[in-house]
Amino acid sequence: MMQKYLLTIASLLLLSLPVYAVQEKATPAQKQQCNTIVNEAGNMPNSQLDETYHKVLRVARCVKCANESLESSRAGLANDLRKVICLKVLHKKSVKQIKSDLVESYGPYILYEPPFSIGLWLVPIFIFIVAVILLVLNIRKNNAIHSNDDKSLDEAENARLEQLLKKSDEEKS
Amino acid sequence: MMRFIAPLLVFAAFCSLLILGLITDTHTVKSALTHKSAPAFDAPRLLDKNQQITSNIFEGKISVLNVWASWCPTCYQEHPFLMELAKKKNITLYGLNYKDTRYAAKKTLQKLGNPYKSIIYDPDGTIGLTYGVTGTPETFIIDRKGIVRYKHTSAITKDIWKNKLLPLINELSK
Repeated sequence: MMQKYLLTIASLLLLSLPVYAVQEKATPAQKQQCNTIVNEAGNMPNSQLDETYHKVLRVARCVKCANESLESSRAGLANDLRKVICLKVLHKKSVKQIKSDLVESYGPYILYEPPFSIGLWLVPIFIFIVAVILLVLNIRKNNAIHSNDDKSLDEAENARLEQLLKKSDEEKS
Repeated sequence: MMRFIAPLLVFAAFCSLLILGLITDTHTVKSALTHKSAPAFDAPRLLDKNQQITSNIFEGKISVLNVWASWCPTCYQEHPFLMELAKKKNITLYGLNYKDTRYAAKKTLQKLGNPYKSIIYDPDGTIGLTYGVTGTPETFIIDRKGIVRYKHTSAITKDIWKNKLLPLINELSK
């Protein structure tokens, strides 16, 4: 019981912390560094940071020009967002952290990776399963009807069928 | 009869989804901040660079935060309406001067008048980006507890004010 209370209090405290979603405390030197990286296609200090930086840019949408990633967009807003991401990378934030920061300000729309939602991922699978079940039921029903058809031929009918087949064979030859 | 109606219904449902996709406005994305605290900031004022302004200003009253810049043509179009809004007693109008220079912004206000109670100066746009700004003008409605309730993209028109923003503000001031 006590633990439950403590957990609730802890999570409430976490929630009440101020949200510094995109804003990063940056030194003028870091800002300058990011300006060079973004505006003059400069390089990150090491390849690991460079990888993080480009990983984020590839999956982030330029919110002003919806079908371009931040990597390829030339819009002014994309440039500003690249600078913000660059500063975060210099602050050693992980790809995951940076993505969640972006979502904090712009919503899941800013990422090209849609978040998991039951509606989006499970409904199509559900519809598929229902369709398969309906199909199987339908096939079974049809089979049942046709197997009855077979049985419904009695001996007289069978004899007549035989006769007809024979007749048509004779006509051919 | 059912044989014909069932596929027709499925087709109609599919078509209405497509039509919905066509008529939904994808340019005005609902703010991700809706029902969350307004992001914190501590920035200089536009009109007095020695004075700081923080996100505490939103506490205790209903605020309207308008993101604007002197280089933004739509902001000029919106300006006369903001001057009207400034006269209203139940809201406080704040400005966020986005990616502008002090000189140009001050000159614009001198020429057209200043509707804002105070203005946050955000020359490199970092505060704007924490608010999820995609362009100017944008207007946020923030309640007494400092929680963002609505974001309107592009200029506020009389119609939008009367039908969307004012009902929300009336609701919040209850």
